[in-house]
Amino acid sequence: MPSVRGADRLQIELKRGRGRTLVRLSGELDLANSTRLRSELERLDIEAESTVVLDLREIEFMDSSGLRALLAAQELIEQRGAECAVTRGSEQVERLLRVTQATKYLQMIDSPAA
Amino acid sequence: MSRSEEISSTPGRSPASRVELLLEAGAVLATSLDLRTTMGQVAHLTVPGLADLCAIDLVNKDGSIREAAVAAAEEGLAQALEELRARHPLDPNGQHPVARVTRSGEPELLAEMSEGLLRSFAQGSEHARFMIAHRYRSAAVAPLSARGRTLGALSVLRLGDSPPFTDEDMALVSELARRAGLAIDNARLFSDLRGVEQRLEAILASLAEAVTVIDEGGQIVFANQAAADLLGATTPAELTSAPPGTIMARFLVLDERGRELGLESMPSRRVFEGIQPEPLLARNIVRATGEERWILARSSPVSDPETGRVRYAVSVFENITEVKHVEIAERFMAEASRVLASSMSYKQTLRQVAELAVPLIADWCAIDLLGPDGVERVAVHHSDSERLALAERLASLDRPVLHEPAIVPEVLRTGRAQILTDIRPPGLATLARDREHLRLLEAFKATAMIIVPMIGATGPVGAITLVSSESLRHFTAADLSLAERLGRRAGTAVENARLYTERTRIALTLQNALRPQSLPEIPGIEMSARYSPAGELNEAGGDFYDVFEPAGGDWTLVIGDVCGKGPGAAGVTALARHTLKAAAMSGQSPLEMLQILHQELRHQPPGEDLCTVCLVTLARVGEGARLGISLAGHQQPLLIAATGETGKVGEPGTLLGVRDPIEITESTATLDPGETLLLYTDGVLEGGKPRGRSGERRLLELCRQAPELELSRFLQRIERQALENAGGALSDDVALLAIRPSPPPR
Repeated sequence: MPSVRGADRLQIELKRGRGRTLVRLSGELDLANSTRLRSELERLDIEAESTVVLDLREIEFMDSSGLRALLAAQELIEQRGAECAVTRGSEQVERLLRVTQATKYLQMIDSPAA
Repeated sequence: MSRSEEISSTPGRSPASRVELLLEAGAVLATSLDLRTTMGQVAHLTVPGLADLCAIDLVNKDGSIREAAVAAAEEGLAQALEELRARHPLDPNGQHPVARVTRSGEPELLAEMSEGLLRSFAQGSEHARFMIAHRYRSAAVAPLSARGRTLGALSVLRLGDSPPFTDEDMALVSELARRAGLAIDNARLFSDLRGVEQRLEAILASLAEAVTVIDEGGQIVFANQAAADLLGATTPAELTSAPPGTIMARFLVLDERGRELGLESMPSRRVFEGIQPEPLLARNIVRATGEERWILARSSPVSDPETGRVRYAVSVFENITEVKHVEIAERFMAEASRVLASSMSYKQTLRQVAELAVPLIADWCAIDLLGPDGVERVAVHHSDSERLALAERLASLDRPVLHEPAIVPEVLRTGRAQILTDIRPPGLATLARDREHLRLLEAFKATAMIIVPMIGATGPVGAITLVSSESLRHFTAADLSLAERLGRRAGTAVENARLYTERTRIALTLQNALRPQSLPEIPGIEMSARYSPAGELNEAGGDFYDVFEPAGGDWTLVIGDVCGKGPGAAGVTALARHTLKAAAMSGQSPLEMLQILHQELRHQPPGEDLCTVCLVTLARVGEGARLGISLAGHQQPLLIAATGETGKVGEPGTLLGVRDPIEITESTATLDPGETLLLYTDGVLEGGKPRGRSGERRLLELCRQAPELELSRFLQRIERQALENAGGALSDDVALLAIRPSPPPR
């Protein structure tokens, strides 16, 4: 991973399938780049009744701002009438989701294919 | 060759006159070093005393023979011979006695020459007729030699009825020729040397670098035109005719630090001390005009080859003014920028800038700042401490008032730079405020002045005054543009510093709002807290903690983390703390307190609404305490047993401010004497963003030591470790709050 500061540390990759969009996040999701996820999703034409999977498996670090961005992304997806699912992530991400009990609000899945 | 003893006692050729001849020849040969003249004089010495005709022939470098001098007793003969020889040069390989002698290096005496003999070596019939017509009778030809080489031949002839030459005459001619040979050699060497010298002079004269040669007495004995130009003379001759020291007196010579240099520091003088001096870089100011030049002077000795004594100093001067000005300007700007960026206490950095400016770009520098209370002079600097005192007195009188028609206020009002060149005493009166002020201005001997505004985004924030005084230097357009650059840089720095100071003040105020000024005392409970914000002071926000006194109920300890940074987050953080405090004071239960905060946060803009809280209630039970732990998305606190064994307490609950409903469960624990409860924020674990669980693992390891440590030291260690994990710069705030019931007194 390039050791640059700020937004470059987060990579967002979109993969559209039938009724299902995979948003693969990698790097770090934190205060420095938390607004990027939302702006990427806003540009995405989300179909109602579809599923958007936020894939966190490649996220190495996430802080509370990152978590806030994740919850905002879920809100946006659900406002468009789509369903949002989040994969499990690294140990640090898992711990954050557990400590904050954000798992209570998110639909967690084990793998993006599910 | 025939020799005749009888003729040796020819009257008029006495030994005395022969000695005289040699003495005369010696005198002639010693006085002149010009070859042609010398040879002419030698030839004339022999005529008419010794001979009727004398010719000196020299061998050219190509081996040909040329006539160098002819002397004859008979009028017109010398010229006629010269013309003949010009038409019929001697064949160097022929039988002419001169050719033979130059080849053999041996003298030849032709005591009696028959017509047949003359014809035998004549260079053609005209030559033969010439010799016969002029009745050539007797000849003595001696080689002109020096250093083993035959340079030519000296021929003496007697004509008509003159007696033939004797062996004695031959010996005399040979001796004369030997001396003439040496003289010719010397003259040639001299001529070669002159040639070298002339070429050298031609080279030096055409050099762009100034070159001078100075003798032991300090007299300039040589200078080229470049030297004349550099030293302010019209011609090199003006320099070589000036008495020693007078040229130097035209200049003020300063070293790089502005100290005046005397004659004894000049490399051209130090050469005579028998050392090879280092090149000297000096600032040279023409006293008459104030023109400034940077000159690099190098000098080398020219020693007497015999005594080794230094006779001359050859100096080469390079005018590097332009290079130096650019270098000084760049170096000064780099240094000034570094100083201006080094600190936010801008009054101090401006003082440093003033110190940098002197003597590099001015003799005196003053900096005025435009503040809410008018104009304030924040820096005055002069390289000379006596003058500095004067400058400070002047500054106290010269305190600019914005509405006065003085220069500094004008620059501050208009934002336009001013340059005053060639200030003379009468002009000072217009600048002076009163007589005392004028007296000081005069004492200052200012010769030029530049006043530039310090420009920030909103306009002038101050002014920089640069003054030239004893250095006499003129300020140029380049100096003005440098000063303007400095003004812009300093203006931006001042403005940034003021903004920063303002932001820091706000941030500090905010941060103070996030934490209690002091912790209350809970009887029988040791308590300690630490907080270290990430990043710059003005990036306040994030973590908070507090301890509330019970209003008849339990003590409440809170620690929390608001997502985000900066004033917005700090505002939410303060809101969280005060909301919880107010709720606690009004006797709300922990879950109600968290619910109230959650509702408050739901009204905050997205992004600054997320908050995690760990809330612990504490009721004294005997020596220990009963704890009620409620977690809203926050780390579980650690309970460290007296043995160092550490466990997490509390049930994870949902975070606040983002989603409804919140789900939080209060759980209980007991804290016995000697046991420690540690509340912390995730900066402790993630200040350095460790991968995996290393942050937590390290924290748990530290907890083992807790029972042996005073609480404050324990927290210090945690904080230090978090800082180390983060490589010295925390990326997240760290807040710590710990309690420990005191062990029962023994």
